[in-house]
Amino acid sequence: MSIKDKCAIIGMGCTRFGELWDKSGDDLVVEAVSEAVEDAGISFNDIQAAWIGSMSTAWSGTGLVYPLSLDFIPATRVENKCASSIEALKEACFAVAAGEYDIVLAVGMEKLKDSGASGLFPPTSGVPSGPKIPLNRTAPGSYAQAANRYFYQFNIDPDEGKKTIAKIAVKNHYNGSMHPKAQFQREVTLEQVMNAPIVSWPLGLFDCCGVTDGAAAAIVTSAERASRLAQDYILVKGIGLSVGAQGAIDQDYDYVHWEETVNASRMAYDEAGVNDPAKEISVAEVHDCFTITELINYEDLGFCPKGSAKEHVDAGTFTLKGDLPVNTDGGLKAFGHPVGASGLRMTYEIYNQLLNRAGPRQIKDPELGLVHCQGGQPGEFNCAVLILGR
Amino acid sequence: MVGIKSYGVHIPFKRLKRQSIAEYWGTRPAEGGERTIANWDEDAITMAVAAGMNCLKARLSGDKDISGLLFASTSFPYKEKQTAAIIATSLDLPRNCLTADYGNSLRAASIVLKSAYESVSSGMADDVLITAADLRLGYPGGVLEQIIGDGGGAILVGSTDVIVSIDGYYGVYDYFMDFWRAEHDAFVQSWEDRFIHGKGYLRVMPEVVGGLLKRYGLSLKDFARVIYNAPDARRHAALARKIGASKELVADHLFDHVGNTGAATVILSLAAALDNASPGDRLLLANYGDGADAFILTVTEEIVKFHKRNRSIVKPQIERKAVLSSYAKYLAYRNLIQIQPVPRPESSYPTPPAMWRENKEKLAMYGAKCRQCGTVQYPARRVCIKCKTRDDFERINLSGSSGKIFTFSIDNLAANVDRPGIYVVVDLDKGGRIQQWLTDCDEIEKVKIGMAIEMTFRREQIAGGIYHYGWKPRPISQ
Repeated sequence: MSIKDKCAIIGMGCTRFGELWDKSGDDLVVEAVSEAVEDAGISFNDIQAAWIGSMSTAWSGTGLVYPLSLDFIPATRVENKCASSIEALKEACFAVAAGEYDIVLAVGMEKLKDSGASGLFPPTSGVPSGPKIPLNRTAPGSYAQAANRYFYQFNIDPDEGKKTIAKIAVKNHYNGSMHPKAQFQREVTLEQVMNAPIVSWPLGLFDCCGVTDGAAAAIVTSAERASRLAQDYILVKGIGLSVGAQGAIDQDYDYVHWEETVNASRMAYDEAGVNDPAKEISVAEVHDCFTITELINYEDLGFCPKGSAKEHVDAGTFTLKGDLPVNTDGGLKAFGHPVGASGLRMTYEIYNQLLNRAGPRQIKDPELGLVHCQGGQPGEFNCAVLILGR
Repeated sequence: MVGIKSYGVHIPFKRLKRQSIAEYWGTRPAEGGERTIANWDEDAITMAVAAGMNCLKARLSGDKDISGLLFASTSFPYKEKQTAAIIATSLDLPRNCLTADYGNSLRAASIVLKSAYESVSSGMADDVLITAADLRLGYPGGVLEQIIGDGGGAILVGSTDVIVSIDGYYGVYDYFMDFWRAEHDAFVQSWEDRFIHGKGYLRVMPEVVGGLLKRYGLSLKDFARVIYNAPDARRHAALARKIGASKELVADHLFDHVGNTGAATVILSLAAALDNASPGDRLLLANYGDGADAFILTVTEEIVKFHKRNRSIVKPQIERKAVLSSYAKYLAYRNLIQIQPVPRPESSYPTPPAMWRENKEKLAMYGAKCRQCGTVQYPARRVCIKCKTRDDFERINLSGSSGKIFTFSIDNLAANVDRPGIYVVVDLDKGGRIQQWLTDCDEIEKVKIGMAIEMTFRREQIAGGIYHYGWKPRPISQ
């Protein structure tokens, strides 16, 4: 069994990402879905079922039905931390592949900036309990632990390590500068990244992604139906999802490789028939909440051998002109990270790359694109990998 | 023979020089030296647990059950909620151990000592653990702020392995307004200096010492050491003169390094004296507050074994210290100034049902060890993280475990009172891995992968009007 070539994405939309003070979460849903519907050449009334991925903004299917006035269709809110909108897309694809619906909608949306908080805020439901997670832990604090361990394990001088991850920030800001919807459309220099205020060493301000409002949407139909329509579309080649939760209390957990990403990518590669991702993947959108996240993910996604990411960063493998461009739209780093929307925003970039619509960021003749989302922090992750092709 | 089996102290890691407090206010220091400052995550309960751990670890054997945990303090975090039960839970004492709080008097520790002696002597109790800790506040800018110190002490009373026998007692009560805190007073109140010392301390202490000597037909010449509390170093010396005790006879009051630790003062002084006591030494212990108690103690041969096992209880803790970088830090620790909160929503906190379910797990740090594969996991799990066996675990106490830092980060966004926060992943030597904030560490540059740590009991937060406690790693004391 495989999802390969069963589902097509026939339309996509994405709002401007950023500090959207003048827009509500509902506005973002309307804007992303409107663009997707228009792109697909359908109307709201053609949507037979819908899923919205949102970590802490939209609640239940009404978070979608209310803003779009889509009363009485089957609608569901799904949540899997930063992988929430890939979860929505996965549900949409599975429903179409099962033959339950013809045309469905997947949306991701998060409105973070109304909270006034720097960083994320935890969901408020449920009784907080358990001595597992220390109070007041922060995301950069957790990822910096991975960075320090990575430098230690692979014998990288910490200052040299900091410079390596800084190059990832420079790359992503450069890519983001060419996307009119990115949160930060400004290039930064290596010196700026290196000299930025330290958040949690080695992570400085420019090693951290933005806190962002945004939404993205996709219209999914069957591959068979899409092939009869006179319009562009891309095909879903593979989907993988892996959730782990024992790392934080396991002495064997190494902090320098993340099994959830390894596992999710293996599932997706198997479905897509990818044997050598470093050669077969043309372009990738990889979770980069922090620069160290992207560095470790190069290895876990099989783009380069374990411990070799530094050489590849130094060689420019993952730049726009490199062998395997990563985060061509700027990634979470420059495009921004409205948690529940990020997976579909990444999908939006791969969609545009595969359809040759990426403008100045266009990769030459991409065949296969990869989307990777990673929710959580070292010790417990929710990772989703999506392979898309033509 | 009934007496002291073991003793322990908790002398907080942080210090403030009296000179720097005085400089801040543009006054003269009340005394030389420095005072202890409880870290921002410490209070009377955590200091009592630390002292209790220290005392239990030092004892020659665990031959008898602990059948009492008595806590002396004037700074209970709760007005209504027995704190001795929190301490007993955290020290993982037997379920049928009698717990009691002894409060409201700076003399509470010696009252407890008398009670413990009596309950062991009567045969109603096996070993009784006395803990005392205080965190009192003097008005900012006042003399008491400099004189007071924070700290805790513990004494184990029993009838076996006795290192110091209790051989005599005399006490008086005395209603006298020298120091007090009424219901809503945050700071210690006091009357005019010359009156309270002249007509209080220096009247009552000679009376009780004289009463003790008279009752047992002894004189000061019969004692190797005289140990007593005092409001400050000056009155400590004044009392020595008044009762005719030579400098050599009088035990160290610890004002130079610690300060007046309220209800714990007398135990700290006793501990320092016992660190240097020899078999056969007869000691006079006197304690003032709303009257006074006096005891005759005799050091036994067992002290030799105790010294061999522990070398010194007090000195290593006095020497292990970090001087606060500023007086403002102290004010922040005690919530006397409000510091800029981090721009994040208030963190959630355990509700009473969740607290109740996790009492043992959280306060006594019980994890689970899989009976099939031996993997230790904290918090305890229902299904083994390694071999997936369900519900086949033995409980394992991890609070006394040492460990090593696996990785760490220095987090400038941490909402801790002390920033940056040092966020560590620790592999415990008994097994299990935890993520926690490292406490009692001022030298951030010394934090490294592989660094050795020990666990210490701390307050995690005050939320919903409830105090929440747990165990944190700190650099291991050498």
